[in-house]
Amino acid sequence: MANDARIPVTVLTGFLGSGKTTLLNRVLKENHGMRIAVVENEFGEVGIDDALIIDSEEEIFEMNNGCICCTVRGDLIRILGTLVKRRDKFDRILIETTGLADPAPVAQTFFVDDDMREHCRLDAIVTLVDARHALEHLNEVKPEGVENESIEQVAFADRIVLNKTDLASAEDIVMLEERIRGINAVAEILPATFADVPLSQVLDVGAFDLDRILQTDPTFLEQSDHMHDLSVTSVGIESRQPVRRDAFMSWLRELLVTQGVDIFRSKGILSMEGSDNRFVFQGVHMLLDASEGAPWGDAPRSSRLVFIGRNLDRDQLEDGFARCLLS
Amino acid sequence: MTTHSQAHSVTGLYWQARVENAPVAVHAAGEVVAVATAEGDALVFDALVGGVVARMDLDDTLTGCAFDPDGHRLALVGSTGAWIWDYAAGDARRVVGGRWCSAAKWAHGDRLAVAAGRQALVVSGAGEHLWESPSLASTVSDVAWLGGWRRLAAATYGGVHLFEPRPHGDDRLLSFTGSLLALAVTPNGRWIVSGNQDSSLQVFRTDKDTRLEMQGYPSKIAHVSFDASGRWLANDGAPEVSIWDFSGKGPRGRAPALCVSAASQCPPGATDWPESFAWHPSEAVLATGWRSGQVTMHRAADGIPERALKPEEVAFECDGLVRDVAWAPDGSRVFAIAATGQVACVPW
Repeated sequence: MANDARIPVTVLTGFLGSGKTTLLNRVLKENHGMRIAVVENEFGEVGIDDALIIDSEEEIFEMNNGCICCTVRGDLIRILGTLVKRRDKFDRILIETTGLADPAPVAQTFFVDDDMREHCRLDAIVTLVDARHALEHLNEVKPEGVENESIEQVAFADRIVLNKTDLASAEDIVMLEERIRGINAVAEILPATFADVPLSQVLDVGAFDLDRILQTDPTFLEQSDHMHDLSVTSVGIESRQPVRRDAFMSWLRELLVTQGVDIFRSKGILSMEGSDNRFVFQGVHMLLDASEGAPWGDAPRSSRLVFIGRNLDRDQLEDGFARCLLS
Repeated sequence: MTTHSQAHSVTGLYWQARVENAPVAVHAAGEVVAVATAEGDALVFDALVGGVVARMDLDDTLTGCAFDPDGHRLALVGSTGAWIWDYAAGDARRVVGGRWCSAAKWAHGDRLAVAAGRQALVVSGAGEHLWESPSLASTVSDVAWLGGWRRLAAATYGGVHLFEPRPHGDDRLLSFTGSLLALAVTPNGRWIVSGNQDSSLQVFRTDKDTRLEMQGYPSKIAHVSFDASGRWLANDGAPEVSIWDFSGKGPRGRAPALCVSAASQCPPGATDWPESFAWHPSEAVLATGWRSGQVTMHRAADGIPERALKPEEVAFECDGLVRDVAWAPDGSRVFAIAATGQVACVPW
């Protein structure tokens, strides 16, 4: 990523009242030395002179294959296409989404649109969570067919800012963290009050950088007994046996084609048979990005992958992956 | 006049100038040429010698510009609205506010169509609102007049709307499930072609209500354009410009008549892509601006590249990606703008 000249783009999500506007204000007002263009939703309340702020209205398009999990944000393609022409005016882009936004079309836009892939790179999805009220949102039972957006925003996140911790008890925070971990075992949780998280921990963190995938040591293999009834959860798999590349790619593609609607995000580092380099991949629903990564060198070789999604069948995923291993 | 010589044979240019901010669109009329920039300033140059005739600073990110047929007024569109600028009088009138405007097209009869947010609008040259469409499925990406000013096509997600822009006028949808990016219409209105986000061309025959799809492009198709006769269609979506022959029954079953490539060799592993193109106002000659900075000219007739330029020649080489090109109304010269701020007047 050091030689990557593309513009890093951070996506800021979070339910209403979680503190997105507070964080946005900090981004716009603090003397952090970064020039940030902000794409805010049309109901945004932040307006700072001299800052590059563009209003957007969420326009979600299905690609014409009719697949509901291959949707993109037409407004972002249009706006970022214009921003690219003003490249000398800013160093990075922050996209604020509405409290009810599904992060998937935003992320998928960076996989699908050629111009965005060429000029911008999705850096991270940052989700703000209100420590006092988030558990209510996450546990809210929606009518059949209606998604709980707060769960999806947590599931998609690379960084979760646990905001307003001063308004919640220590016990409540522990419960909330456990609930968040049950949904998304790999996102980094950053406690905050007044969204006072260091900007370096939410901007330009390279969460979608294939070389940095699972670079931190997530606890995704740890299972919490009382979380099994969750419909949205994470499944982590690890193995020291080499992986057969063709078998793995066939299995993964088949998995994402048949279950991509329910698999929000997937990522992994694999030790492939006959290769000296790490093999890294990441996906958003059905869309997949995979390539050779850094050499293993003297590091111990192992494969780790994680799926975050709805109604995941751990046994089925483990069995499927096991069939890709060199016996 | 400045000449410019690079590694290839370059035929030279009449004049060049530089604008401070990144130019995004160029259009010519009469003896003037206009440049709109991403930072909101618009400049009108003398097309013959290159001096600045007028300038206007609008507080917006501009996306396009278009002179009226007389060359007296310039329509400007941007991320927050649209304006009509009488540059000689120094009067800029906002005709749309608070909405993303992707395109503006003049028709004879003093009418301007604007892609304004989720609506297509028609305003008079004086800025009076004459007609507006209902709110459509998405932001309108392009508009095009058919048969003078009696029908108007508007591209949105889900297809092409064909409006009669008058009270209680007809509204017909040429349906296609996808995101449409650009429109081209033949002068007789028989063919409408859209370039699409899904890397396809959709070809609608309006008199028979049929649709033909052309797939297989490696990238989205953001530019489509018919020549003045309506026989030749040019589109991007690949490292070359495809030119299709629409004579007779149209392009069904035909290969592209010509695939226009950049003339120069790129660095190893790199590929040059077209960034913009424009047809000569009366001949089937295509001017293409390339990401490498080249400006090339090709003639479509009989599917054979001809005219003076050989494959190793380019008409001119800008000092950066060619953002847009436009012909002078008499076809004597091409104006090219580069992302670096360069404005070049290339002879033909």
